[in-house]
Amino acid sequence: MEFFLVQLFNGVSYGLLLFMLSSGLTLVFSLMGVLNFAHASFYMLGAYFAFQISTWTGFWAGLVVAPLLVGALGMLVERVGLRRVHAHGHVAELLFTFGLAYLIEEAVHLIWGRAALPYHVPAALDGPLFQIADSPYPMYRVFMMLISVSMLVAVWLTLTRTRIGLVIQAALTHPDTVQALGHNVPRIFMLVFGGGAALAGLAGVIGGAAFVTDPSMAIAVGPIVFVIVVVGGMGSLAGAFFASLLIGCLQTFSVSLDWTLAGLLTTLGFSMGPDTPLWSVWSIKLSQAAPVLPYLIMVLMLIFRPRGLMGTRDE
Amino acid sequence: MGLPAQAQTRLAFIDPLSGPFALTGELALRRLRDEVALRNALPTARNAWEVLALDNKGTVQESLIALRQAIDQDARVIIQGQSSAVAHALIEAIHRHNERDPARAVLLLNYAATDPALTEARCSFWHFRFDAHLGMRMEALTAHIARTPEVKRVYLIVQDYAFGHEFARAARALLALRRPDIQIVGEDRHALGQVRDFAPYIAKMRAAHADTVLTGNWGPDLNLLVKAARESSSALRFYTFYAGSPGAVSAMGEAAAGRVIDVTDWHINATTRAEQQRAEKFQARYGTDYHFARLHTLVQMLHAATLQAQSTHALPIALALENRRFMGETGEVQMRRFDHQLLMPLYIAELAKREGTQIASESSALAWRTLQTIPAYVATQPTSCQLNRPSRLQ
Repeated sequence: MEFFLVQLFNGVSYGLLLFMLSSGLTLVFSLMGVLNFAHASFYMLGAYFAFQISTWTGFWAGLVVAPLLVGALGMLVERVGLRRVHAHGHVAELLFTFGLAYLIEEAVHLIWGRAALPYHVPAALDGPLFQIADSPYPMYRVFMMLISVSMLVAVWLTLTRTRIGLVIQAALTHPDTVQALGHNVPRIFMLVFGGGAALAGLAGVIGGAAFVTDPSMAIAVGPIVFVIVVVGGMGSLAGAFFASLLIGCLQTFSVSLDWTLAGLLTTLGFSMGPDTPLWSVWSIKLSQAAPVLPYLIMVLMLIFRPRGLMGTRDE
Repeated sequence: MGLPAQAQTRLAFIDPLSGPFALTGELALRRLRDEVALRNALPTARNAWEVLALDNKGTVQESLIALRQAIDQDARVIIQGQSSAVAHALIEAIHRHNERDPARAVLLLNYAATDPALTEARCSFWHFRFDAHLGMRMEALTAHIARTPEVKRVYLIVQDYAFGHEFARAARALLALRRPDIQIVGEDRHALGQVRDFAPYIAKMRAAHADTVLTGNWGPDLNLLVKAARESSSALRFYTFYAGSPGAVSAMGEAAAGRVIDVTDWHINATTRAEQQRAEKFQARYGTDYHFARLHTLVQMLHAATLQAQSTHALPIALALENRRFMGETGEVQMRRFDHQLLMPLYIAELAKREGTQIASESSALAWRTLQTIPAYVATQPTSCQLNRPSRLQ
């Protein structure tokens, strides 16, 4: 029971971090139709900016300023780059963000070098917060969950309860009408793109300290973020939330299980052993396959329910 | 075959200088250049050596192209280390080249590829290894564990590829031999570089009541593992092979203090004062720590062999390298004639808060300190190698 609870907490907190990472991507996609390949690069920039700020003023300033900086950078990218490319269609946009991801990575190499940075959890958040039976549970994980949940609530309230949120929602489905009503739709797009980047930047501030801040961090999370957005349903914030939790828990629990296909077949009455043909396949443990499971889910989802858990687009 | 007056000896360095593994490649290249400069300043150096840096992007195909370029540019010595797969491919290609064109034969000096097969089943006359291979390191590690009664319940975690599998196999075999009372309470294999969150693995280790973890992980997979252990306040101790590699200490940070024990051929607090001063100069100049002390041994031994051989050809240099002894920074080393494996002392070193005159690692507050010195004869492994000597010698 203790083990189960610890793993549940681990799964939920990892899932919530994944949600922080993917929410910006799914927002930008839902509004602008842009699949932003550079999204994970904004995550990386968040961590690097936060590290740089933390060397001057400490962790907390970084937590606030770094996402704002990344957001501003995102807006700049939209204003001077993406907006011009937009006229040439979605493929051009996709290629633009693809190239941008490489540019950001090289820039990080040039400025901060190739080695991992000593960016760690601040002393105030270091250490256990409470005990689950005999296992102390780390304070930073709880902090991570808190930030993620408050981010979800804030984004939700902004989209549904504020004027700008209503305009954004309207621009999602009827951009021409919104434009005709006198709203500056390109500016809204710029804000949304910047907002998406800022959310990724915030995830970077949190994730960079919990994990490792190095130039490979963008590539490492890039694929999983796409999986979440696809499984949750392209453009659905709630879908991304549930998909993140699902994948976080799935990965965590599959690590704990040393089940094999061979074991399953043996209980079904087959006799299996190292001499069985294809033994190397039958003897793969579930824990060994854990990192691949999200991709399996994505493939299954695309086959059986292409619009994802809560997606609305059926094209 | 005396040395031509103006002969420039080229050493070709073939390792990743771009892509995800470029960090280690770059640091090794920097150190190699530093060592070659040191050698060029020796009074016995009759001509200048020059390093030809070739980027193999971490792949076998690019390495073979780089080898071609090196040979075309008259390099007779290839220096490589960052991947055993690349080392195997280079050896095969070098074999073919040397058979066809003995006048322009080349040598492979390997400073880091640790697959035991390189000096056992697939050993080659043209290959020399200046690093302790996996079997030697595991021998040293288990020799230390044999003297450490606190280790009772061991958990193995490795990356799911050839090196990781071999690590786990060797660990089980040698622990069974040296400490049959130790229980191996679990073994995990995880995809290389795919796992971000190691907390579930740590929870699993706790649930299995492990006290010690043996891991072959390197790079982010090691750093994340150790950080996750600290996060969950676990008292697990990690025995590693790669906690001393570039970037690891700064990435792990405080998390590693008193928790990480590394098997290494060198660390800064195990060396002479003169060497420490050189390391400090290096640090001030490049802003990075001193790594790959083996490159010092490699360059110095190559220099001595070249002097003895009175030649720039690969064959006489190779013969002069065989059985050669060298007083390294950490004791005497010797290039074994049967398999071209360097026999060297190893260290079991713990990462802890810096004390007294210890030198810290990577501008952190942590320093390596030796728990046990493993003399060369302890880690020495028997070899099944049957060197295929060039026909002219038989």
